[in-house]
Amino acid sequence: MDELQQLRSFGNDVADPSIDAVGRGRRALVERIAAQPAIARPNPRKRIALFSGVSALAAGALVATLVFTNVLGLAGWRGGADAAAASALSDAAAAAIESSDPVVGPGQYLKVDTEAVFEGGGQTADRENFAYLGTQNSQLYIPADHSDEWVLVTEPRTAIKVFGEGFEEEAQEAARATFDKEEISRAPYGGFYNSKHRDWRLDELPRDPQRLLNYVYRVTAGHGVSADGQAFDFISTTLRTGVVPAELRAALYRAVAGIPGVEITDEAATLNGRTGIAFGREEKDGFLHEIIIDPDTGLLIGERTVQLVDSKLVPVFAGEVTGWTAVTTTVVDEAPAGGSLCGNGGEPVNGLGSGRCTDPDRPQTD
Amino acid sequence: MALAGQDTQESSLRYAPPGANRELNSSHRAIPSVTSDNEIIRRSWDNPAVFAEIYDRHATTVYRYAARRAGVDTADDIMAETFLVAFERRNRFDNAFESALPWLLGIATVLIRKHRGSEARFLRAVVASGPPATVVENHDDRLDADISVRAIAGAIRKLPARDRDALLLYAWGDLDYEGVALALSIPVGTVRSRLNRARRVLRLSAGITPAKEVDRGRTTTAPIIR
Repeated sequence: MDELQQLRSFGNDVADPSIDAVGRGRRALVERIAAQPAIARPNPRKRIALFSGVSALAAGALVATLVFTNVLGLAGWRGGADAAAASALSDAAAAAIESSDPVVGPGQYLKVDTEAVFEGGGQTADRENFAYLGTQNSQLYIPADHSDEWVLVTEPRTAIKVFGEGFEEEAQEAARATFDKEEISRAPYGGFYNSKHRDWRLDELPRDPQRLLNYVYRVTAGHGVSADGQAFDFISTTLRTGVVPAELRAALYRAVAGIPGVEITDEAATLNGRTGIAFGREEKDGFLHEIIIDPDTGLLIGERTVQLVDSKLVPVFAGEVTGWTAVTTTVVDEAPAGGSLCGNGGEPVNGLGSGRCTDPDRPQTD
Repeated sequence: MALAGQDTQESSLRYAPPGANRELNSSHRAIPSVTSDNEIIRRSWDNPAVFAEIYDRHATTVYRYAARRAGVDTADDIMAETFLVAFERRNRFDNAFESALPWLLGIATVLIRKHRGSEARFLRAVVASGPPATVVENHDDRLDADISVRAIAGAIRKLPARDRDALLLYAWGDLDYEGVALALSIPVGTVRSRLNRARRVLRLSAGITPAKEVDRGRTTTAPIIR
């Protein structure tokens, strides 16, 4: 045992904070947040629905006292999506069940192609704020046998839109800082970068829409801006993995129909060249969160976020689409060659599950 | 490196302008599956309420780090205060980093320094009567460990504050070199030299001779840095 191991073992059995202490700290933060005027002002040109949804904290308390099972839960008694959205979601669910999932034969791969755009921002040395939209594209190849090597191709990131003039360079630099060249990683069970096995735990999700929604409310309780928004976010995040089987996808669509505030926000939303119906929910945080579904096939096209207020710090205005993810899932016979567990040649650092690798581009000076 | 001075964080809560450490980021390659910290913090510029999610994600980790350094009584306060400071400084967070944890632990470290009395008392108690509880998996190591934990606590106590911060962020905050650099707003090279120095002191006081195993352990646990 070296001195570092000894130091690490010293006090590593320290208990987690008490629920009281965590609650006190959170309340102090929430009070501080409330005392601070929001930097953004609602834009009067764009109506923002005010939801009477219970706050995340109150929902947490409610859930803790009322909900013990997925059968008796929040779903249902708070209302649901508006009628048109609920009906279209039901149709999409029916279409999803009718279209069969692609079958991955021996030696083949399920390929999940994700084209994503996120909003980044930063502050220059002169304390000027800037914001940009950056890409975050990747292709994941999942082998028929999960113990075979999975392959992840990560594309270099780039800023595709910069808000405000004169920050082009900073934006590109910021976007590239996390990823500046294509990288191929491979690992059994999807444990890329020395991380744990990839498991979306989809088997744990109930297939009955009502129980599923109760489950979602239960596991997301106390997080996010509102209980309904967090439930919507959970479902959208689950769907965009691109690996959700048809029957679960159908159940998730029907569960969305049970979330108050969800409405059809765009009859013909186009993402990545594909057009579908956008189902969205305006959140108190000033963003519209949408999922876009192909009504004919019940396939998820992707998800999208629209800002509803003008930013004060950066020139990002109401109506701006500030992020999206387009997901395409297909079956392919081959995955790209090359790469390693740690991407382009790095080595694992602290053993399995640490999620750390050395960087091959950095000469070792030790 | 914009922040060349090594100890500007010594006297007040000061952080490098975003971008100063940007080139350090390369090993934190989280594959995005949920909203990452930097997205949440970016949104909180305009919508402060979303910042509470950062608390939900990291409060426990901040608490555990603080508890190991300054004892459980002080840790509650440091946990709460860390997030108040972080919230006030949220538009100074460098969005190129996906995880907010190094930044948060850096804030906690400065706060712990303000509670220096607690940390010193805690370490003195360990030196005097041994650790509150020691977890050592290998029974053969136990005796050895009980003795040397007291020695180590004594050594930690005597370390200069800046070496102690780097060492404990690395060992107890579970940050890598880059994370420690980000937390303390210092270059990675400085992290390395502080860690080397601190570990040498520790090794000497715990009576560990730098055998071959020790050397190998060191190079495999330390990330390769520029």
